[in-house]
Amino acid sequence: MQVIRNGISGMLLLIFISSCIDPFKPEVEDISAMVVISGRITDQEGYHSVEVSKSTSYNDPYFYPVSNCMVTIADDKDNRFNLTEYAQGKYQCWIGKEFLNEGTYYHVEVITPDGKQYMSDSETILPCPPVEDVYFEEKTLETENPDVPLYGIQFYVDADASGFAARNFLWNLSEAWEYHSTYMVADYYDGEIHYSPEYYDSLFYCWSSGDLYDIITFTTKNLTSGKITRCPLNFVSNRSQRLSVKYSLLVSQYSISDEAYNYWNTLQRQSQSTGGFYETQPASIKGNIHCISHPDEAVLGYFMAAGITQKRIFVPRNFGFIIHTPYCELAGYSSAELNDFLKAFKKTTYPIFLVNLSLTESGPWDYAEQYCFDCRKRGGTLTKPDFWE
Amino acid sequence: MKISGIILCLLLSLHVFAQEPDLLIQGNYKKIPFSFFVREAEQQTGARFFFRDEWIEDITVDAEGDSLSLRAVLSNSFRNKDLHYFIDTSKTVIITKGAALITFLPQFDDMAGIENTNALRGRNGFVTETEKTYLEGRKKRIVETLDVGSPDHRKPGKMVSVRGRITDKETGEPLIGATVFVRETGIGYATDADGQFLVTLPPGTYDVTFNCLGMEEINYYLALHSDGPLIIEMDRKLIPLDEVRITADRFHVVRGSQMGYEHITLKTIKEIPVVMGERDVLKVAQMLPGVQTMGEGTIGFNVRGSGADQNMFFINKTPVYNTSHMLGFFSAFNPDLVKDFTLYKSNIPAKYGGRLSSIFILNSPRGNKKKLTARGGISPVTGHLMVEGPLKKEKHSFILAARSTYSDWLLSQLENPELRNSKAAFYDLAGHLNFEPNEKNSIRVFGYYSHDKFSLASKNQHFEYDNRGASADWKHQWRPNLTSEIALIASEYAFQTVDSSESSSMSYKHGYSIGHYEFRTDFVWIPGQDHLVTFGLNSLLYQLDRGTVRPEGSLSTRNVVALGKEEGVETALYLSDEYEIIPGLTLSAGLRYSFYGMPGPAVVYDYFSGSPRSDLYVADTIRYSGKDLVAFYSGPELRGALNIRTGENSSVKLSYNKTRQYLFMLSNTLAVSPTDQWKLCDYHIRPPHTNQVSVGFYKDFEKKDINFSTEVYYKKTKDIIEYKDGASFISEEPIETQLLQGEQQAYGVEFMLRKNTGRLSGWLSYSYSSSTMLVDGPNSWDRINNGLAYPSNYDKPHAVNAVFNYRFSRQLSIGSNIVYNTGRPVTYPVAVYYINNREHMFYSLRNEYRIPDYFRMDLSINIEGNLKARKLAHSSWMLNVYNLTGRKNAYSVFFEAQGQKIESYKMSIFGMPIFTITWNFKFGNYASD
Repeated sequence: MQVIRNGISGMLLLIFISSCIDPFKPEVEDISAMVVISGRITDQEGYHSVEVSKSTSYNDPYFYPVSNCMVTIADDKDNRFNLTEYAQGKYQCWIGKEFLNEGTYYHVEVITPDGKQYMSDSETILPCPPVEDVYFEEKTLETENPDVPLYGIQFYVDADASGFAARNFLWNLSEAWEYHSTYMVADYYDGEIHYSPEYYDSLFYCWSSGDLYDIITFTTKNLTSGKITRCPLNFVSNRSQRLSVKYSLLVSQYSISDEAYNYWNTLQRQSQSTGGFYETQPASIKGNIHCISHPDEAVLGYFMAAGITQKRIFVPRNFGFIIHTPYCELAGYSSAELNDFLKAFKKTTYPIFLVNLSLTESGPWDYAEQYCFDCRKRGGTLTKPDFWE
Repeated sequence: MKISGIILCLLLSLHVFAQEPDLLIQGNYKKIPFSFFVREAEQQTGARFFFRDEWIEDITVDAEGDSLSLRAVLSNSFRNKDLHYFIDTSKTVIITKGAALITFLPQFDDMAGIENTNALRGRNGFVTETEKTYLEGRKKRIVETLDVGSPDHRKPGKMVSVRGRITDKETGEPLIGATVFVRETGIGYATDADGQFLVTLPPGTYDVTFNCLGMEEINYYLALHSDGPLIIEMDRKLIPLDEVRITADRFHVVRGSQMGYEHITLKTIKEIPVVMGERDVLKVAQMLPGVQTMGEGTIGFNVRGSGADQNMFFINKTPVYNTSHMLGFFSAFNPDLVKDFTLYKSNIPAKYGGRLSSIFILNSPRGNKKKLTARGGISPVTGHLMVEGPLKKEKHSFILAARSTYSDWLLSQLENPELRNSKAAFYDLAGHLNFEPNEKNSIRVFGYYSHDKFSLASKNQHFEYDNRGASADWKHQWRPNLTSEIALIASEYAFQTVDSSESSSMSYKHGYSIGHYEFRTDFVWIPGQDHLVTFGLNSLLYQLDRGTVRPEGSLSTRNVVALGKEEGVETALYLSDEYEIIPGLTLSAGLRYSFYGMPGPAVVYDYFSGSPRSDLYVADTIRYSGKDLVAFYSGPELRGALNIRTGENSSVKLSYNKTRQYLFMLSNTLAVSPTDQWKLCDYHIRPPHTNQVSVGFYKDFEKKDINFSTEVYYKKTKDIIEYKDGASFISEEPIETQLLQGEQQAYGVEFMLRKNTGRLSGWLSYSYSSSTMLVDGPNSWDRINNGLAYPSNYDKPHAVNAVFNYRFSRQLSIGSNIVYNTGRPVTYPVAVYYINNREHMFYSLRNEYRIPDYFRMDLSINIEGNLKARKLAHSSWMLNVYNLTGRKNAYSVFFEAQGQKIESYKMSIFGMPIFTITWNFKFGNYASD
């Protein structure tokens, strides 16, 4: 009764390769909307903001702001700062340096238009240690297709909280990058073809920026020292134009309370689940906001007080892998074909930029996709950010 | 070879003649060969002789006279030759070797007494093995009478205890779960793990049938005179293809008092197609009603809605704390090493304790006592070898078994670069020595070791774990009706893990070990016909070293956290009796009383009452010295069952069961992981205990050999241990701050229809079950799920399992498994909200939703090699298709916040049909084991 498992070599291959992940939309019942209040006060003079919104159903999610609320940040020294709504559901207020002190406790109070009153627990600002270093390493990620790995760079942060009371940290990331068009603009069509060097590089240099959605938290609670080493941040792949010229990452480091850490860490873990072996069960986390007029009402969100420090780094293009840039091949039209092709454009889309194949007034010209000329068509702006090096 | 089927007629005529006839011949025979004499005698008397040529090769006849008694001549010639003869009135002379033909009628006790000075008579008498082969296919009732005890010792009015033992004639292995059915009383008995049984009856002659899966049924008249032993050797079925029995316990499904009991032998296992082409006993267990798993690739079982840590696995008395290899794809037991297994899911005998939900008992073979034999196999992934044989023929035997993978090599061949870095490998070793110096004593020594390592490269996690176990067991028979068993048992489980899944500063390694050291003694006493008394005690020491979490790598600045060591002592006494109140009504009642103590030294925190258990609310620190007892718990565990025969082939059974458990598993993951730590009950954590009641109805449809059974159960567990949301078991915080205790309630109904014989065999089962948890303390922090009841992680209400096997011929059969069950509960997001343009999910109540239902169909085709009886080795091919329909059953459903979008995915493990081809070989012919 002996078993020789010839089949198993094939078997194991199949176990792992056929282990598959497919999109799947579960049926979920809608539940009634809950109020979401979130905001933060930091030790930096400036605008401090609070958002008031409502949760939406899983099946049809959207941002559902709550306008016309009375929003107040108050401290334990009887200072009250009334926030004004600067965008739907978003409230802010300038708070001066003199009010932002270690040891002062802050909370937020919100009265919604339907008269319900909400209040957060109080938190105090703990000074935040400086961001010691932000750096990156080239990294190769595996993809579904084993033959096509994903190249890119992985950012890390180091910090040293030794000597600071703060032991929980949250990082928010903002990125910005410079990128260029494929072709400089020389010739264009607006009913007829112009040889017109006046545009030249005016649509060539662009910058793009945005906040990243990653939540990154860390606690030194289980560490012997306050040293934070190689805490992974974001990964930037070679499949976007981010790395094509120069990339910049701004790391905002917040020192947060134990409660805030639990809140953000739970959200972080839940947004990173992969359904794999030995994962933990997700669970709801509500935050530190309470409805004081209707104590049984479930409220979501967190109001935190935090120290903040920041560091920005620039990463010029210098990598051991190639960068994928948008596809900008010439259309390959003959002069007659080009003429017919250009006539089909509406006037509102003028000017249509063209490539001059001879660099003389007489052409010939050829067509390429317009985003190859106008870098704005790839999402960025022509305005160089003031922090740009 | 002159013996033919007419023997049957002869046999029937045996009972008619009380006096033995003789024949007269004349002649002068001087050392003539026996065959000449036979020719002469046949001519002179018209008699016909039956014998085997090889028996009489060197026999000569030396006699002279005019009226020689054939009896005298034969007696003289056969002197010291171990040959016997029988002559009947129709002038038929039958010569037998080894034992005389039994020629008395059961009621003629005086004659029997003379003929059988040896109180014990095997059945090596009349029909030899080869002859029996000839008789196959036209078998009728061949009934011999075996005597037990001696009529001289017969005492009127005194009950006779027969201590019997049933063995396999070929290997000498005891047959476990073989049944003994006494027709006159209608009572069935089953053999224990040593193949032994005890029957107590008034003196007299009984018609007794012996049955065992894979063996020929045999029937004897037992003439009981006085207490005595009885050895029954059973023949293997030479044509098992047409007569595979799914269970051995044909009779006691209805008549035995067991409930919630499953017994599966290797024969059954052989018929079931399983993934990996391996005959995995634990995969078969999953096909039984009331046994579920969390999904493919998970470790552990959930029996009747209970957690995976509520089951005890024994292999030959040695507990095994982690029963799986390689993410649960393989079980930790070498298939060669498992002869059968028994599962108690309710009405656990008083002998067993320590777990709330079930006891799995796996038995290995004892080793071939007759000849040395080996089996082995090798493939690109695994290789295994098993050697068994006698240490001393007929008495002592041994088994050595080993199994290993080479899958590191395999993974390194893979194209997937991520898997190329993954490692998965395991091996296991086992040895078994079996000594039987005499009938009254047997000693068994067993050792087991398994090792696993694997790395989840994608997560930078590395695991290694070991099971080590050993047991020594001495069984002694004091009196025919009193036996004892004394065992020393040691079992250890240890794991090491290196986890670099978070940042370098957080990387850590952690090692853990648990030791289980046990002494136990068990007695079986049969004071009379109506009683079966078992009693004994076991005492065990748990030694846990929860290990130290240490930084891993030069960049890690993680705190060193010593999780501490602890010990616990669990002792239990038990007494139980199975009592037949009136024929057809059997009561079995048992009491187990268990004590548990945790000795010091220890440091324990006391918390302010009415506040959460956390370092902020420590009221007092209690220091215990080594002499102190940190915690002590004890309590009775009542076990009771009532079997009411409601007809010739049906019965109703009721049972009540109480169990206690003094250790539990710390698990905050969905499925049990190898790094889940066992933890003892302590100052804060009370031992959970379960009450279970069940009612069952059992019916045999004898003509068609179909059993039907249904059981309803309800059980409630108090003080069940649940982890808080986000609990961590490797942090500095004391463990009681991470746990809560609550209540678990489970109920269900199970139906099972089995067809045991015929071309089509198999079973069909359906179970409906519910399992819910409730953790509702007085304060908000003592609650899980806001104090509302929620389904347990393994609550799968509907489960249908079908196992079919159809035989086209002896060489070709097709089998199929069909499995359906409700998806397991999960927590889904039910609302979405935004903070700073980031999307977040709000989750439902715990386990409010379910992943999609599970369905799978497997197919296997078995092609056996030729059926020649005489050959060195036999081989067979098994073609398996696992998940024939290719259904992508969900292992998990998960959600990823990708910026402002939430994507949801389903992960499945076997998303396509998986083909395997297995080649099996063994020494011996088709029927050999």
